[in-house]
Amino acid sequence: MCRKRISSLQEYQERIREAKREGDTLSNCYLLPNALQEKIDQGTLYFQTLSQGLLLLDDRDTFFRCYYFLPETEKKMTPVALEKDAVIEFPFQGKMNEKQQRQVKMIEELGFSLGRESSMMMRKGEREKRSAVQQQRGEGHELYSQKCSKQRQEIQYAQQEDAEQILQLLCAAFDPLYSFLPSQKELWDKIEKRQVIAIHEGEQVTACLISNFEKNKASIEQVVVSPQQRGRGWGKELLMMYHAKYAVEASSFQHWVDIHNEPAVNMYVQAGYEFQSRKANEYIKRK
Amino acid sequence: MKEQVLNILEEIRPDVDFENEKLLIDDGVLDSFDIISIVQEFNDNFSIEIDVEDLEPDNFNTVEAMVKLIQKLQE
Repeated sequence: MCRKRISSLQEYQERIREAKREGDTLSNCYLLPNALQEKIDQGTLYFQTLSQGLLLLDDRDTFFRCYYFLPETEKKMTPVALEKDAVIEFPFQGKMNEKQQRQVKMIEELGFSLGRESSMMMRKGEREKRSAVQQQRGEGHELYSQKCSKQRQEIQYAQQEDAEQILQLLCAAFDPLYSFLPSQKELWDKIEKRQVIAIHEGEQVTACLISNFEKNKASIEQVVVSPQQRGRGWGKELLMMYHAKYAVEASSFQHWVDIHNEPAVNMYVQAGYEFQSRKANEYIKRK
Repeated sequence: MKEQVLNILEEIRPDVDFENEKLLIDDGVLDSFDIISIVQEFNDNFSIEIDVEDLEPDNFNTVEAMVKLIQKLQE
């Protein structure tokens, strides 16, 4: 069965109703109407019917982000054929319950396999009070610039002309299936908002941290250090500047971490982060 | 029920002041990824099934709205 584009919110709701006619369904779909409408307007939302249930496909250019609506049945799923690589995100709290384990079994029967296990890590913002004072005095930024410049590296907010190098660094380091990599336009917007911190050696961007800030919550979207520069503490430097940047406004710092990425987990634990009960597994299917 | 709802929400997002926030969705306090965790926990804890049509900002903007939605689905 080929995928078909969804042209309106009404059509989306009708498709879901159809899938539910056979009984209760299991789903990982968490898109609110405004997010759905945006994807429909952009023409990126498709559905594909399965032997049982259906898949909602968000076309991300090189891959599909999939949301499923599967019947609560013991009947085995038939593997699905997709035109591109695909990923299913499966969020859960703490330990998977029986119902969630059943969903995972169905996801695997569709031909997906576990790609990454992530957990939310969080650090409370109160710890940042001292840094906040530093930042208000302008000390924080100065301190990091000075320390880095001793090693011929400069840490500062990224500029628009850094965007291409940053995208190259990201593409080389991350599998787009897992990483919500920004488009060029999204990166430009973030640079404009000073949400991207970069380390330069001369003209070369050697590391960067892309952040986000919403309603008192600061979060990291990506941290990347070029392979030649790893193990020199640049990740820690970026993290310190990120904390200083949001010290005044943020009541918490949180982000998703691959639980098997030991260097990253250790760095965050040392910086005062703790694992939360929120977890998400990503199941992938290569074309 | 409100207390149970609050416990669930605080487990998912311990950094949010759920008692006082009145525009949890509209103000971007909860993101779409939070919603699926909340929906899953509500479904399991209150033996309900929150439908796609129920995924409206108005149903998740406040704790009171969420309690109302659960009560409606339990009827």
